[in-house]
Amino acid sequence: MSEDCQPTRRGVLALAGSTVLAGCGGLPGLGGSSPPSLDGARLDEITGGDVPEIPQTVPVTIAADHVQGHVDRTGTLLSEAPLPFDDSELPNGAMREEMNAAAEQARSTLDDAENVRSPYEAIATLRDARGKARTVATAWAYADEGLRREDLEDDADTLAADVDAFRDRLSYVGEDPVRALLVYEPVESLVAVASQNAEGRPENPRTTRRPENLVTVTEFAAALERGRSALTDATHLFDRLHADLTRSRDLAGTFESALDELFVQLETETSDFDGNDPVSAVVDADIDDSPVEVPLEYLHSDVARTGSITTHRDDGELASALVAVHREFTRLRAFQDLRDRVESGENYALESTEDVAAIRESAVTAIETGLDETAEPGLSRNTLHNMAGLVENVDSEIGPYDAQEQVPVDWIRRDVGEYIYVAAVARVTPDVSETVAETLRS
Amino acid sequence: MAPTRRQALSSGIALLAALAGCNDRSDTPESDGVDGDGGDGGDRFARPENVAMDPESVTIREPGTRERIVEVADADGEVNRTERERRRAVREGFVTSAEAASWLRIDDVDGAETARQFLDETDFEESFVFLDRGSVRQCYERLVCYITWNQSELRRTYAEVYRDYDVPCTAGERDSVATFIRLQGTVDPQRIESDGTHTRYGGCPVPRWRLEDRLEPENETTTVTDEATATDGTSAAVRHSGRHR
Repeated sequence: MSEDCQPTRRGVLALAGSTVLAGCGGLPGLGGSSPPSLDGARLDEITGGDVPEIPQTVPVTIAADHVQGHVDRTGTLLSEAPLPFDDSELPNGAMREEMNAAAEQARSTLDDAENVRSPYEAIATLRDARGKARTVATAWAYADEGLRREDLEDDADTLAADVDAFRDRLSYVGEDPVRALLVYEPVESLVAVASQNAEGRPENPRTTRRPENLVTVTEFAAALERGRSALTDATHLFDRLHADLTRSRDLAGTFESALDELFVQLETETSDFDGNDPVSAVVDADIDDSPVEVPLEYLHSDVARTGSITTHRDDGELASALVAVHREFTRLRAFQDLRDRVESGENYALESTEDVAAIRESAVTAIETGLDETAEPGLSRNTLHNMAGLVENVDSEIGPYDAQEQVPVDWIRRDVGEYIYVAAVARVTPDVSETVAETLRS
Repeated sequence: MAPTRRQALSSGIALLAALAGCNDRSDTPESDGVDGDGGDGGDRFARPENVAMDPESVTIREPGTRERIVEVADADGEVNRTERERRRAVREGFVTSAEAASWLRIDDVDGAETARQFLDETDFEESFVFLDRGSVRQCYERLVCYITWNQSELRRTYAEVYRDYDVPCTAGERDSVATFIRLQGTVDPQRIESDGTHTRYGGCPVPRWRLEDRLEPENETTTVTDEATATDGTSAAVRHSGRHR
């Protein structure tokens, strides 16, 4: 076997061994014709193409001083410890390495926050930076002042009480239910995070006797810091929504009835689906070995998964439940979209680098078109943001290759299938958003 | 925090939650490193024949070396096959008689006296000692979680946890350790063999035969609640909790 034909990690991951061998320039005796190989350099070029930039946003203005508050807090925490720790400050070398690494991560996360594309992304990054900085500050307090877990219990109790107090005043009010949904959904998620973190690190049910030490105490403190940050952000988003309202109405009933209506519709439409069925049994076309088989499988196995909707609903998280409905409808419609396409003859051939280029291009175009044409950009953009992220991920999975490397097509079939997934999801997103929005406003 | 591809695919149509819920709990020591099923076959949840939770033990260690700190003395002069077999069993760790204990040569390290005393105090009519010799990362200590055995095999389950923050140690170095574990009952050293060790980073695993109870939230009463505090890894204090079988 020539060096060029050494299976790469990617190849091994993608496929069983025999297929990898079969892709290696047609070894004799393996039967059948060998699939084509693609030019690695051209693949690098294709996967280096532009991806739409879609920042995650929330439809309220996050105050600059709120963002700055996170930055300042991170800086204060980092300034509390003598960094980097030396062996007199933290004699345990393994802990010292871990804590110095956490300090580095806190600083680099702080830098990352300056380069994000929206204030909403900035606060998410800064919550993380605060957690890491608190880790470091706590390590020093543990060593220098004898801080222990029990000294943090009051903080935890206060956070839990503050979460409860916030939940008491959290009510679904607003003007436009769609805009309100897009604010309440992250508010609910953030409060859930704060609530979980107030309990500290949940004990791993598979572990017992976990001795307390400097590291476990820093983990607890970091959880509290992230929880506090999340609650602060939730409060800010909620207060900004309120401040913007010139007139408002109670939306709880609106959310509930929209949820009921959409849920019934979803259940009706998916009642015939069984995710355990092989996709070949539900698609009337020959898709074996076509990259389109991949997204059809992903989507089909997940359609009719309505568990997260009911979980959120049971937890009183109406906005999260509605967003979950949006997600499930998107899955369903994307599956139907792809099924219709293959049943009407679209074959998604993957035989040349130009096939890869065309399939990737269709994913990128679908995202751009979705963003341009959606009547409900707020509801659509976060799905499209995630799809853009997925294209970036797939790009980095496919390449890079050494010059003149030949890539058996089987190695990238699954990756290319994920571009098709992106295209399908992006295509159907505007319609799903419109359905959800109309139901909310009706 | 970029979602992994599979996450992005399965939940990835997710909206704001992806950022809002970004609750990074990346933690190093708790990862289940060496933990695994260990391939002991049979019913995963079947309770082994003999179980000692948190048995009495003494651990001694020597920094910066992997050389064994406890050796089994060779017999003087010519020895017959039976005699060789008996010493082989002790080298495997099964110390089942006072005579076998007398073959142990413990290096002059911290805690050597305590270890010798631990052996001397053992009533070999009713109990035996398993001696585990190996090495541990210098900034960590190895806790004995539980031992399971039957007449043919004995298995150790350990936790590897950080030593105290103020213990000077070098990441990447290892120390030689020897752990003496006292177990109730008797075993035939000619029949029993070591069935290896199972190490969990960060804390002791819940035994499999208790896991079902523990993962069943309705059944909290059976939850294991041992909560030992960190021990100073340099000491050789006898640890015990009286929970045998």
